[in-house]
Amino acid sequence: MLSKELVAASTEPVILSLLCDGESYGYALIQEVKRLSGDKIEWTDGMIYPVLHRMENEGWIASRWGEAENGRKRKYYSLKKDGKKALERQREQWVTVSGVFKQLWKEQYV
Amino acid sequence: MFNLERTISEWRRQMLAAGIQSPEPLEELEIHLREEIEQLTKSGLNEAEAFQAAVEIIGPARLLQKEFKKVAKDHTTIRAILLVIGWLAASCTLAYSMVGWDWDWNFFYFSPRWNLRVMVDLSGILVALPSMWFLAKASRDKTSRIAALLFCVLLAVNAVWCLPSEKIPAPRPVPALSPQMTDNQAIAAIGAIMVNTAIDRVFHRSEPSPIWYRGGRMLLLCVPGVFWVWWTRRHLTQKRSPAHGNWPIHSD
Repeated sequence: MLSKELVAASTEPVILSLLCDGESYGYALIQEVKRLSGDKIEWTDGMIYPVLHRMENEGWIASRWGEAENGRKRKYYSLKKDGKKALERQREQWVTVSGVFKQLWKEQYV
Repeated sequence: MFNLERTISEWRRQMLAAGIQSPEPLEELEIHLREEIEQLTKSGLNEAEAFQAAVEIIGPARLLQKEFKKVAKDHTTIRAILLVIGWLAASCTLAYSMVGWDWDWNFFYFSPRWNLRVMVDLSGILVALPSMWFLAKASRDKTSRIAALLFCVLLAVNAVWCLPSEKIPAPRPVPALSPQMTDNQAIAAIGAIMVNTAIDRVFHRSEPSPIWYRGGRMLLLCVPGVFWVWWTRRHLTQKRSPAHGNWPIHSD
């Protein structure tokens, strides 16, 4: 299981990256994160909505109400231009950290 | 007998009681709850068990309300309006203090003196400039940033006007009055004489004020622009650290 701090730090880039593939809604985003992490990233489901709303306030994502195939109402979120820029910035930071670990651990275990 | 609709209504009431009163977040949470129940039911749980599990997965109402409250606090519109008002007040204070200072020291000839009025003017400057530093730091949204830029430009324009040559102006042509003039022509000529004389008197200097004084005034009026550039660059290059904010972590 991932630590709280690491999950917290990765939430925004994870959501932004998922929305890069097209619009989505809260429930689907959470399921996708669970699937991709093999259930290692655990979110309290309801807490994704304050994060989405805050990202919307920041101007990173947009939302619209739509209808699912089963007729149920859903709020869909999509990435905006500023969100792409924010993702790019965060991606650079994660790539840097990841690169540092790669080099450190390669040297240590080779 | 378990009634899902009634139980969901009860859950909704609990959410409302906990303080999640905006209709949109509540609706989103309810839709999420229903999706979760549907999935859990498909996986073999009965409705009552699925409901209990879904409520736990969604999270406790108090915790959710706390996070939504943080977002509401972050809401940019009110914040932007307050920032613009702050910029307006700080810019007016700075401009008013500078004019007052100039009036006390440089009208109609340069005569620096440390009286109460000058102290009040300097206090205004000392209050306005640090305020502008914090306003520039807080102006992260586009609206307040653009408004701040406008105020900084206005102050910088004012700064340019603060550095006139203060030399004795060239004599202005004074329209001659003659008995052949109509009433309107005479009024226009008298007006021109009054305006020209007033301008000549205001800017008339046997000795211009020292360059350090005029340069200092100009620099002080340009300082807010420097603050704006500094903080705007920082905001644009170093975005908020991902360690802050609201995160969907398990409450444990």
